[in-house]
Amino acid sequence: MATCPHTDGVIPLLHDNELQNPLRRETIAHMATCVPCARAFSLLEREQELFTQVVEERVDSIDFSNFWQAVEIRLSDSAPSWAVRLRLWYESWRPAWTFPVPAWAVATLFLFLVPTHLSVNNDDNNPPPNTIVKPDLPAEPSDMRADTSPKVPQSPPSSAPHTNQLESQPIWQVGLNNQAQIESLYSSGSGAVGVIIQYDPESNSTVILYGSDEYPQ
Amino acid sequence: MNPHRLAQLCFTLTLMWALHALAEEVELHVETVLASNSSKGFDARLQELKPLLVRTFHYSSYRLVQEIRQQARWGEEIKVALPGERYMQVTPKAYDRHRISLQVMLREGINPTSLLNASLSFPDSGTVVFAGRRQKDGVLIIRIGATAKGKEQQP
Repeated sequence: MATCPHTDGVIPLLHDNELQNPLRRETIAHMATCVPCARAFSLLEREQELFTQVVEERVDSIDFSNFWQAVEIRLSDSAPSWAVRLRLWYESWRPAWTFPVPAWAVATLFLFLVPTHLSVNNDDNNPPPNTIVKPDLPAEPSDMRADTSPKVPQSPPSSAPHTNQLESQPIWQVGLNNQAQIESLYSSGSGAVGVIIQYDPESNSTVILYGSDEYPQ
Repeated sequence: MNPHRLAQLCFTLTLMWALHALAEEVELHVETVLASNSSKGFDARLQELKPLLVRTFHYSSYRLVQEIRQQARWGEEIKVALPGERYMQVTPKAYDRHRISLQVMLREGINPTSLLNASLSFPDSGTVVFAGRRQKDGVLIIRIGATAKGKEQQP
Protein backbone atom coordinates (compact mmCIF):
# COMPACT_ATOMS: atom_id res chain seq x y z
CA MET A 1 0.00 0.00 0.00
CA ALA A 2 1.44 3.31 -1.08
CA THR A 3 2.19 5.83 1.61
CA CYS A 4 2.83 9.56 1.67
CA PRO A 5 4.73 11.53 4.31
CA HIS A 6 1.98 14.18 4.25
CA THR A 7 -0.77 11.76 5.17
CA ASP A 8 -0.21 11.97 8.92
CA GLY A 9 1.27 15.46 8.91
CA VAL A 10 -0.58 18.19 7.04
CA ILE A 11 -3.74 16.37 5.96
CA PRO A 12 -5.31 16.34 9.48
CA LEU A 13 -4.40 20.01 9.77
CA LEU A 14 -6.05 20.71 6.43
CA HIS A 15 -9.13 18.86 7.59
CA ASP A 16 -9.22 20.88 10.78
CA ASN A 17 -8.86 24.07 8.70
CA GLU A 18 -5.65 24.95 10.50
CA LEU A 19 -3.52 25.65 7.42
CA GLN A 20 -2.92 29.09 6.05
CA ASN A 21 -2.10 30.01 2.45
CA PRO A 22 0.13 29.23 0.55
CA LEU A 23 0.65 25.91 2.40
CA ARG A 24 -3.08 25.29 2.25
CA ARG A 25 -3.12 25.71 -1.57
CA GLU A 26 -0.06 23.48 -1.97
CA THR A 27 -1.61 20.76 0.19
CA ILE A 28 -4.89 20.87 -1.72
CA ALA A 29 -2.93 20.65 -5.00
CA HIS A 30 -0.90 17.80 -3.60
CA MET A 31 -4.00 15.92 -2.48
CA ALA A 32 -5.40 16.08 -6.01
CA THR A 33 -2.48 13.96 -7.23
CA CYS A 34 -1.80 11.85 -4.10
CA VAL A 35 -4.18 8.95 -3.55
CA PRO A 36 -3.12 8.15 0.06
CA CYS A 37 -3.57 11.74 1.12
CA ALA A 38 -6.96 11.98 -0.63
CA ARG A 39 -8.05 8.79 1.08
CA ALA A 40 -6.83 9.98 4.47
CA PHE A 41 -8.77 13.24 4.02
CA SER A 42 -11.92 11.31 3.06
CA LEU A 43 -11.56 9.11 6.12
CA LEU A 44 -11.26 12.09 8.36
CA GLU A 45 -14.39 13.61 6.86
CA ARG A 46 -16.28 10.38 7.34
CA GLU A 47 -15.14 10.15 10.97
CA GLN A 48 -16.36 13.68 11.51
CA GLU A 49 -19.74 12.90 10.05
CA LEU A 50 -20.12 9.78 12.18
CA PHE A 51 -19.07 11.61 15.33
CA THR A 52 -21.52 14.44 14.67
CA GLN A 53 -24.25 11.96 13.97
CA VAL A 54 -23.65 10.09 17.25
CA VAL A 55 -23.57 13.28 19.30
CA GLU A 56 -26.78 14.59 17.72
CA GLU A 57 -28.55 11.30 18.36
CA ARG A 58 -27.54 11.37 22.04
CA VAL A 59 -28.51 15.02 22.45
CA ASP A 60 -31.88 14.36 20.87
CA SER A 61 -32.49 11.64 23.41
CA ILE A 62 -32.12 14.08 26.33
CA ASP A 63 -35.28 15.85 27.57
CA PHE A 64 -34.57 19.60 27.96
CA SER A 65 -38.18 20.59 28.40
CA ASN A 66 -37.86 21.31 32.19
CA PHE A 67 -34.27 22.49 32.13
CA TRP A 68 -34.84 26.19 32.99
CA GLN A 69 -37.49 25.47 35.57
CA ALA A 70 -34.99 23.24 37.32
CA VAL A 71 -32.32 25.94 37.15
CA GLU A 72 -34.69 28.50 38.62
CA ILE A 73 -35.66 26.15 41.43
CA ARG A 74 -32.02 25.59 42.28
CA LEU A 75 -31.29 29.32 42.21
CA SER A 76 -34.19 30.13 44.53
CA ASP A 77 -33.19 27.37 46.89
CA SER A 78 -29.69 28.69 47.45
CA ALA A 79 -29.88 32.44 48.21
CA PRO A 80 -26.46 34.07 48.07
CA SER A 81 -24.83 35.10 51.31
CA TRP A 82 -24.65 38.75 52.37
CA ALA A 83 -21.00 38.89 51.43
CA VAL A 84 -21.83 37.74 47.92
CA ARG A 85 -24.71 40.19 47.68
CA LEU A 86 -22.50 43.03 48.87
CA ARG A 87 -19.89 42.14 46.33
CA LEU A 88 -22.47 41.95 43.56
CA TRP A 89 -23.87 45.32 44.62
CA TYR A 90 -20.39 46.81 44.69
CA GLU A 91 -19.63 45.41 41.26
CA SER A 92 -22.87 46.78 39.84
CA TRP A 93 -22.06 50.27 41.16
CA ARG A 94 -18.35 50.19 40.45
CA PRO A 95 -18.61 52.53 37.43
CA ALA A 96 -20.23 55.12 39.69
CA TRP A 97 -17.44 54.98 42.26
CA THR A 98 -14.95 55.98 39.67
CA PHE A 99 -16.24 59.49 39.02
CA PRO A 100 -13.68 62.30 39.25
CA VAL A 101 -12.01 63.44 42.44
CA PRO A 102 -13.43 67.02 42.16
CA ALA A 103 -16.92 65.55 42.17
CA TRP A 104 -16.12 63.64 45.34
CA ALA A 105 -14.63 66.78 46.85
CA VAL A 106 -17.74 68.84 46.13
CA ALA A 107 -20.01 66.12 47.47
CA THR A 108 -17.94 65.81 50.64
CA LEU A 109 -17.88 69.57 51.11
CA PHE A 110 -21.64 69.71 50.67
CA LEU A 111 -22.21 66.93 53.17
CA PHE A 112 -19.98 68.75 55.64
CA LEU A 113 -21.51 72.18 55.15
CA VAL A 114 -25.17 71.24 55.35
CA PRO A 115 -25.03 69.72 58.86
CA THR A 116 -22.85 72.62 59.97
CA HIS A 117 -25.34 75.12 58.60
CA LEU A 118 -28.25 73.30 60.20
CA SER A 119 -26.36 73.11 63.48
CA VAL A 120 -25.73 76.86 63.48
CA ASN A 121 -29.40 77.56 62.81
CA ASN A 122 -30.43 75.22 65.60
CA ASP A 123 -28.10 77.08 67.96
CA ASP A 124 -29.77 80.32 66.92
CA ASN A 125 -33.19 78.90 67.62
CA ASN A 126 -32.33 77.49 71.02
CA PRO A 127 -31.94 79.80 73.97
CA PRO A 128 -28.51 79.79 75.53
CA PRO A 129 -28.13 77.39 78.43
CA ASN A 130 -27.45 80.21 80.86
CA THR A 131 -30.44 82.30 79.78
CA ILE A 132 -32.20 83.86 82.69
CA VAL A 133 -35.92 84.40 82.40
CA LYS A 134 -36.82 87.03 84.90
CA PRO A 135 -39.86 85.89 86.84
CA ASP A 136 -40.89 89.43 87.62
CA LEU A 137 -41.17 90.49 84.00
CA PRO A 138 -44.72 91.43 83.10
CA ALA A 139 -46.50 89.03 80.82
CA GLU A 140 -46.02 89.88 77.20
CA PRO A 141 -49.05 90.82 75.14
CA SER A 142 -50.16 87.92 73.03
CA ASP A 143 -51.47 90.22 70.33
CA MET A 144 -48.11 92.04 70.12
CA ARG A 145 -49.62 95.46 70.76
CA ALA A 146 -47.54 98.10 72.41
CA ASP A 147 -47.10 97.44 76.07
CA THR A 148 -47.28 100.72 77.89
CA SER A 149 -47.48 99.27 81.37
CA PRO A 150 -44.64 100.32 83.64
CA LYS A 151 -41.70 97.97 83.82
CA VAL A 152 -39.98 96.91 86.96
CA PRO A 153 -36.38 98.07 86.81
CA GLN A 154 -34.14 95.31 85.70
CA SER A 155 -30.58 94.57 86.59
CA PRO A 156 -27.85 96.92 85.36
CA PRO A 157 -27.09 96.98 81.65
CA SER A 158 -24.12 94.70 81.92
CA SER A 159 -26.12 91.84 83.42
CA ALA A 160 -26.78 88.44 81.89
CA PRO A 161 -28.82 88.24 78.69
CA HIS A 162 -32.54 87.75 78.76
CA THR A 163 -34.79 85.73 76.59
CA ASN A 164 -36.03 87.65 73.62
CA GLN A 165 -39.61 86.65 73.00
CA LEU A 166 -40.65 88.58 69.90
CA GLU A 167 -38.69 89.45 66.82
CA SER A 168 -41.15 90.27 64.11
CA GLN A 169 -41.64 93.85 65.30
CA PRO A 170 -39.08 96.26 66.65
CA ILE A 171 -38.64 95.53 70.31
CA TRP A 172 -39.23 99.06 71.45
CA GLN A 173 -42.71 98.85 69.92
CA VAL A 174 -43.79 95.79 71.83
CA GLY A 175 -42.22 96.64 75.12
CA LEU A 176 -39.86 93.71 75.38
CA ASN A 177 -36.44 93.69 76.89
CA ASN A 178 -34.30 96.05 74.87
CA GLN A 179 -31.53 96.02 77.38
CA ALA A 180 -28.03 96.37 75.99
CA GLN A 181 -25.02 94.51 77.23
CA ILE A 182 -21.92 96.67 77.37
CA GLU A 183 -18.83 94.63 76.69
CA SER A 184 -16.43 97.56 76.74
CA LEU A 185 -16.86 101.30 76.87
CA TYR A 186 -14.14 103.83 77.10
CA SER A 187 -13.18 107.34 76.21
CA SER A 188 -9.52 108.24 76.17
CA GLY A 189 -6.98 110.60 74.70
CA SER A 190 -7.41 114.29 74.07
CA GLY A 191 -11.14 113.86 73.45
CA ALA A 192 -11.81 111.94 76.63
CA VAL A 193 -15.20 112.61 78.12
CA GLY A 194 -17.10 111.37 81.12
CA VAL A 195 -19.53 108.53 80.50
CA ILE A 196 -22.68 107.54 82.36
CA ILE A 197 -24.80 104.52 81.56
CA GLN A 198 -28.47 104.79 82.36
CA TYR A 199 -31.17 102.23 82.09
CA ASP A 200 -34.70 103.44 81.58
CA PRO A 201 -36.97 100.71 82.88
CA GLU A 202 -40.15 102.16 81.45
CA SER A 203 -38.95 102.14 77.86
CA ASN A 204 -36.62 99.23 78.54
CA SER A 205 -33.81 101.17 76.93
CA THR A 206 -30.15 101.68 77.64
CA VAL A 207 -28.90 105.24 77.37
CA ILE A 208 -25.20 106.03 77.22
CA LEU A 209 -24.48 109.63 78.16
CA TYR A 210 -21.08 110.84 77.08
CA GLY A 211 -19.67 114.23 77.93
CA SER A 212 -21.62 113.87 81.15
CA ASP A 213 -19.73 116.72 82.75
CA GLU A 214 -21.66 118.99 80.43
CA TYR A 215 -24.91 117.15 80.70
CA PRO A 216 -27.58 118.73 82.96
CA GLN A 217 -28.54 116.17 85.58
CA MET B 1 -28.39 58.85 39.14
CA ASN B 2 -25.60 59.70 36.77
CA PRO B 3 -22.48 60.51 38.84
CA HIS B 4 -21.80 63.67 36.90
CA ARG B 5 -25.34 64.88 37.46
CA LEU B 6 -24.96 64.09 41.15
CA ALA B 7 -21.76 66.15 41.28
CA GLN B 8 -23.46 69.03 39.48
CA LEU B 9 -26.35 68.90 41.94
CA CYS B 10 -23.99 68.95 44.91
CA PHE B 11 -22.06 71.85 43.44
CA THR B 12 -25.23 73.83 42.78
CA LEU B 13 -26.55 73.26 46.29
CA THR B 14 -23.20 74.25 47.79
CA LEU B 15 -23.14 77.40 45.70
CA MET B 16 -26.69 78.27 46.77
CA TRP B 17 -25.75 77.75 50.40
CA ALA B 18 -22.73 80.02 50.02
CA LEU B 19 -24.80 82.73 48.35
CA HIS B 20 -27.38 82.46 51.11
CA ALA B 21 -24.64 82.91 53.70
CA LEU B 22 -23.33 85.96 51.85
CA ALA B 23 -26.83 87.43 51.68
CA GLU B 24 -27.01 87.61 55.46
CA GLU B 25 -26.64 91.18 56.53
CA VAL B 26 -27.91 93.65 59.04
CA GLU B 27 -30.01 96.79 58.68
CA LEU B 28 -28.78 99.69 60.74
CA HIS B 29 -31.12 102.48 61.72
CA VAL B 30 -29.57 105.65 63.07
CA GLU B 31 -31.77 108.50 64.26
CA THR B 32 -30.24 111.76 65.36
CA VAL B 33 -32.28 114.06 67.56
CA LEU B 34 -31.31 117.59 68.49
CA ALA B 35 -32.59 118.44 71.93
CA SER B 36 -32.41 122.09 72.93
CA ASN B 37 -33.97 124.86 74.93
CA SER B 38 -33.94 127.35 72.10
CA SER B 39 -37.60 126.76 71.36
CA LYS B 40 -40.50 124.61 72.39
CA GLY B 41 -41.92 121.69 70.51
CA PHE B 42 -41.71 118.06 69.84
CA ASP B 43 -41.09 116.55 66.45
CA ALA B 44 -44.10 114.43 65.54
CA ARG B 45 -41.83 111.74 64.19
CA LEU B 46 -40.46 111.21 67.68
CA GLN B 47 -43.73 110.34 69.39
CA GLU B 48 -42.63 106.82 70.08
CA LEU B 49 -39.41 108.11 71.68
CA LYS B 50 -41.10 110.86 73.61
CA PRO B 51 -41.49 109.07 76.97
CA LEU B 52 -37.82 108.18 77.08
CA LEU B 53 -36.69 111.64 75.99
CA VAL B 54 -38.88 113.43 78.47
CA ARG B 55 -37.84 111.24 81.38
CA THR B 56 -34.15 111.20 80.60
CA PHE B 57 -33.48 114.64 79.18
CA HIS B 58 -34.78 118.00 80.24
CA TYR B 59 -35.08 120.15 77.17
CA SER B 60 -37.97 122.05 75.75
CA SER B 61 -37.49 121.07 72.13
CA TYR B 62 -36.73 117.79 70.40
CA ARG B 63 -36.20 117.66 66.66
CA LEU B 64 -35.29 114.73 64.44
CA VAL B 65 -32.44 116.13 62.36
CA GLN B 66 -31.31 113.00 60.59
CA GLU B 67 -32.55 109.48 60.02
CA ILE B 68 -30.49 106.90 58.19
CA ARG B 69 -31.26 103.32 57.31
CA GLN B 70 -28.44 101.35 55.82
CA GLN B 71 -27.79 97.72 54.99
CA ALA B 72 -24.41 96.41 56.04
CA ARG B 73 -22.65 93.12 55.97
CA TRP B 74 -21.33 91.62 59.14
CA GLY B 75 -17.96 93.16 59.89
CA GLU B 76 -18.50 96.08 57.53
CA GLU B 77 -17.81 99.50 59.01
CA ILE B 78 -20.50 102.10 58.39
CA LYS B 79 -19.71 105.79 58.79
CA VAL B 80 -22.52 108.14 59.66
CA ALA B 81 -21.89 111.87 59.51
CA LEU B 82 -23.47 113.76 62.38
CA PRO B 83 -24.10 117.48 62.84
CA GLY B 84 -21.26 119.51 64.33
CA GLU B 85 -18.33 117.87 62.54
CA ARG B 86 -18.94 114.63 64.29
CA TYR B 87 -19.35 111.22 62.92
CA MET B 88 -20.09 107.79 64.10
CA GLN B 89 -18.54 104.52 62.98
CA VAL B 90 -20.78 101.52 63.48
CA THR B 91 -19.57 98.00 62.79
CA PRO B 92 -22.01 95.13 63.16
CA LYS B 93 -19.78 92.43 64.55
CA ALA B 94 -21.82 89.32 65.15
CA TYR B 95 -25.20 87.74 65.61
CA ASP B 96 -25.41 85.30 68.45
CA ARG B 97 -28.48 83.91 70.15
CA HIS B 98 -30.74 86.59 68.73
CA ARG B 99 -28.46 89.36 69.89
CA ILE B 100 -26.55 91.73 67.68
CA SER B 101 -23.08 92.88 68.67
CA LEU B 102 -21.94 96.31 67.51
CA GLN B 103 -18.77 98.32 67.73
CA VAL B 104 -19.63 101.99 67.99
CA MET B 105 -17.11 104.83 67.79
CA LEU B 106 -17.97 108.48 68.11
CA ARG B 107 -15.49 110.98 66.75
CA GLU B 108 -15.44 114.73 66.35
CA GLY B 109 -13.33 117.47 64.79
CA ILE B 110 -11.54 118.02 61.49
CA ASN B 111 -8.72 115.83 62.78
CA PRO B 112 -11.07 113.31 64.29
CA THR B 113 -10.66 112.72 67.98
CA SER B 114 -12.23 109.70 69.49
CA LEU B 115 -14.92 110.66 71.97
CA LEU B 116 -16.22 107.25 72.75
CA ASN B 117 -15.56 103.67 71.85
CA ALA B 118 -18.15 101.11 72.83
CA SER B 119 -18.53 97.44 72.21
CA LEU B 120 -22.03 96.33 73.04
CA SER B 121 -24.85 94.03 72.12
CA PHE B 122 -28.61 94.20 72.23
CA PRO B 123 -31.50 92.01 71.07
CA ASP B 124 -32.23 91.72 67.37
CA SER B 125 -34.36 94.72 66.35
CA GLY B 126 -33.37 96.45 69.57
CA THR B 127 -31.85 99.86 70.11
CA VAL B 128 -29.37 101.73 72.21
CA VAL B 129 -29.26 105.48 72.78
CA PHE B 130 -26.19 107.67 72.89
CA ALA B 131 -26.49 111.22 74.08
CA GLY B 132 -24.15 113.97 75.03
CA ARG B 133 -21.70 116.68 74.12
CA ARG B 134 -23.39 119.95 73.81
CA GLN B 135 -24.42 120.96 70.34
CA LYS B 136 -24.95 124.75 70.46
CA ASP B 137 -27.48 125.08 73.23
CA GLY B 138 -28.55 121.48 73.33
CA VAL B 139 -27.35 117.96 72.91
CA LEU B 140 -27.37 115.39 70.16
CA ILE B 141 -29.24 112.22 70.97
CA ILE B 142 -28.43 109.32 68.70
CA ARG B 143 -30.49 106.16 68.70
CA ILE B 144 -28.97 103.16 66.95
CA GLY B 145 -31.11 100.20 66.01
CA ALA B 146 -30.14 97.04 64.20
CA THR B 147 -32.13 94.22 62.65
CA ALA B 148 -30.49 91.08 61.34
CA LYS B 149 -31.55 90.06 57.85
CA GLY B 150 -31.41 86.55 56.54
CA LYS B 151 -31.68 85.08 60.02
CA GLU B 152 -34.56 82.87 60.98
CA GLN B 153 -37.04 84.83 62.98
CA GLN B 154 -37.96 83.56 66.37
CA PRO B 155 -41.52 82.19 66.49
